[in-house]
Amino acid sequence: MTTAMETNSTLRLDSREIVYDRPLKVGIGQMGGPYKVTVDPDKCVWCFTCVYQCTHNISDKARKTGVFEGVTVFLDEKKRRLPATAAEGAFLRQELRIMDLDCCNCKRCVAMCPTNAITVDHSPNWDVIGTPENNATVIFQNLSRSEGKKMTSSMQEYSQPPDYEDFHIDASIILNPQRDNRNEFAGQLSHCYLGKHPERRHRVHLPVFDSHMSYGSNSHEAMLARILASVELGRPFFAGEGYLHPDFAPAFKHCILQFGTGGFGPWVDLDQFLGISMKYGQDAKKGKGGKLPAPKNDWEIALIRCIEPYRDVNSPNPQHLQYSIEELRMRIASLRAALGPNKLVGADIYGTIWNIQHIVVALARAGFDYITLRGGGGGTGAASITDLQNRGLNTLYIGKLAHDALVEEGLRESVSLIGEGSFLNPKMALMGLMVGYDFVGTGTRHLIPLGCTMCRRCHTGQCAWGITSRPWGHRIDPEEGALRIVNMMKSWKRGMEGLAAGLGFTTHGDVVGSRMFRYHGKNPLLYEAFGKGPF
Amino acid sequence: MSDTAQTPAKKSKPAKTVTLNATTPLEQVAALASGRRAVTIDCGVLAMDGGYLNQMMKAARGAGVEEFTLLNVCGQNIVGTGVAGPCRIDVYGLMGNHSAAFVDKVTINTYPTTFPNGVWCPGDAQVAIGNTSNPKEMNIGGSVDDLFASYCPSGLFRVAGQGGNRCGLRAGAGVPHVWREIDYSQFAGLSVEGTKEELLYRYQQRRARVNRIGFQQFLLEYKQKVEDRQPPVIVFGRRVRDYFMEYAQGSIGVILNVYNVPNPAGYYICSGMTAGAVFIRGDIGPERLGHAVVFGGLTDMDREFLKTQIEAFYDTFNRHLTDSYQEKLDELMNRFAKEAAEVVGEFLKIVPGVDTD
Repeated sequence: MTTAMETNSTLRLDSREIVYDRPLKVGIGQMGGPYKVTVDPDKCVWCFTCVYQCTHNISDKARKTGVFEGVTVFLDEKKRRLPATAAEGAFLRQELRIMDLDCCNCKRCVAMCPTNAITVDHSPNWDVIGTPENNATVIFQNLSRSEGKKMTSSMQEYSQPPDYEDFHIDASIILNPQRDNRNEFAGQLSHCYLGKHPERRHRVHLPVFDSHMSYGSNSHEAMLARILASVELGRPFFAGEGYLHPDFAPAFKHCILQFGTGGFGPWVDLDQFLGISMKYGQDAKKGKGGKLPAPKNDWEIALIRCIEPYRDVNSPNPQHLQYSIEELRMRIASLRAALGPNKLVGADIYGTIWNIQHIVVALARAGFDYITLRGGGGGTGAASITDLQNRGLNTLYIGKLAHDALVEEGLRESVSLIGEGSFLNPKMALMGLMVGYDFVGTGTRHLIPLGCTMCRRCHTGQCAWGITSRPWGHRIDPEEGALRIVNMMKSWKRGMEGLAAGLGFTTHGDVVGSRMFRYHGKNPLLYEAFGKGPF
Repeated sequence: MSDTAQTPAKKSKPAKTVTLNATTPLEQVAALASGRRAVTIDCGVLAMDGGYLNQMMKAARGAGVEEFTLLNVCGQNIVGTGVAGPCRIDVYGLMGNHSAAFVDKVTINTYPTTFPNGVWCPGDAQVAIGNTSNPKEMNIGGSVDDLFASYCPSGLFRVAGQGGNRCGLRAGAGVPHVWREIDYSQFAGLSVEGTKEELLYRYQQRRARVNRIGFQQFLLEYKQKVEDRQPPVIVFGRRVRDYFMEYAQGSIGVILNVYNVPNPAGYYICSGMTAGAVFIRGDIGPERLGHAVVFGGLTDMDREFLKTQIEAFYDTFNRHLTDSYQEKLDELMNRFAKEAAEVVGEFLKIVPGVDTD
């Protein structure tokens, strides 16, 4: 466009127009996309930043642009269209075309627009439909199924915000004198240990962790930003099932690998790592192994995971190396022998209701250093919608079950508990500690400082923020991203320490398992656990 | 303990080796083993615990020992796990569960033996032997049970006898050279700031390269590295049970079927496999194949590969087998010497097909 204007000085700009594209099809279910994109023509300065920024084109991947497209039309004097190789004396018309079918409300264009000319809103055609029961979600999901589309999504489909406003802490001036964490040694959460064995435990400076996310699900830059932040904050970094890039070797001694059912990775020089987590379950895909789609399995990923590139790769559903509780002990012995002394071995499980107590007791007896419990509300990058609808129990509730079972068996002092799933803010994180978790982990909260707006398109690999899309990873500056995560986490810590001091706690050890709060909400499980009776 | 140290070991020069046993205290192992290239450890059938044996071997390896001879092994677990390569471990007896897991650059051989009480023990191995390992070579003189060589990223595995269920589960496509080039000693004493600097320095190099040539071209630079990998090869002498090479991701399996039995592999062969190949000598009904795998044709490269594997198998296990097996193997090798092309032609090749689901 600019080239044509430079080379052909006689071209003259005729007009500029914002065009809302016609739908590709009409008929059943063709009600446009769930979001409506509008550009204010008075504010737009025709910089076409939005065209470059938008990456979402899943309805037609052959298209080179996303929701926005910049088009230059050549006209003659009578405003008739000319071919693109315009003759001299032609007029130009610039068009900004908007095809909002693929818009996922990631707000990248809104954030990058220099004049704030773009608005992304719900499309009324999508929302105002159906009944409260058979609502837009039900209608459009079943329409998608009838069109033979793959029913994959990211994050939770039917998540409801946890009713954290119904939890009230018990800061009574008389019964437990409040203290001031800024002026005295109170509410200090910077001295904790992961693992309880005196020789193997690992000093941690913050009781909030970054959850396991794979290299490959996160771009190189997003992963690096999270590693930098974890190193800076003095806490272990939990790698996902997809192993780690060799460029991260300087930080391997801060990293805990995860052995999923796929067992991806070269598994060499294991003594250089801090530990290994055995992944026995993922809250987002209960009982399911992961699936790496072929387009994401590029040359680099194949090299790191030790698989062949550009093929769909399925992981087995169960961990075949141990079928029973009795075999766990042997597996741990083998992992410890591989890692060497003073290293951590953990287990990642999801929160089942029927036998969570038996499972954590068995894991603790087998000799794991820590157990990660994933409750309902935990997210994922890609899972079938049906799996996502099978949401787990509240993380606080299973934390109570697990903690109490371990205390009853006298095993609480031999294993650390980590809770993950919907710890949205410092208050909930502290509530997690008070329920009985030694640490809480959050995944998505660590992506928000990198730009994540929860548009739930991780599985497409088209993330416009460069978090879950490798080709656009360069949109993240790892150093700045790390700084933002560190700042956010320090703020979380300040908030948690203030609350802890207000409750009269001194150290991290005081907080864990001290259930000085009550639940006053409507959830019967939580009411049963935290709403009545002595704790 | 001085008595133990002076006991001459089997099969090696007395000056160069030392025999350790269950009564040797762990603290003395390093002193006893230092300066020696080889040690012999007498597991005393049931006298020694697997964990103790493992620690003993690590201590000896730390003192510079390169060859281990383990005598009277009877089900000791985690033999060799965490023992730094390159080294060689000869096991006389039965290796226990999860032995040789996570080993790297280690050569492991097992041989049948006769225990001091006169009981003959085959050179077998139990469950999950060599899981997630990158051995230089692993030769099991007897049979193995379930999950042999599961999750192995690379290495050469040979089993004289038969295998259990899920042998070669999710075997990988080879360890790239880049992991061998990392010098961890430079990161040993790094501070937090130093670690961050090193990480960012590596990222800047990557970023500069991506900026210069573009991301897609950058990915293509890994193509050669991917193709240079050596996938694991798993060779069975007799037969295997169900789910052979399930979810395999680029590895190669061979079943020689020395006994010429019909259907030398169970059901669900290569179920869920996405890359790699399996060669089975003998007849396999199509109903035995797993999901989305098909029979393929042998190429010249496959024939050459199979010839090499048969010869190497014979060289490895010749004269270490039971009499009846030796007879059958000799029979096969005589035929192979005369009509190699025909013997190789009896192999079926199983490769991933199109997943229509």
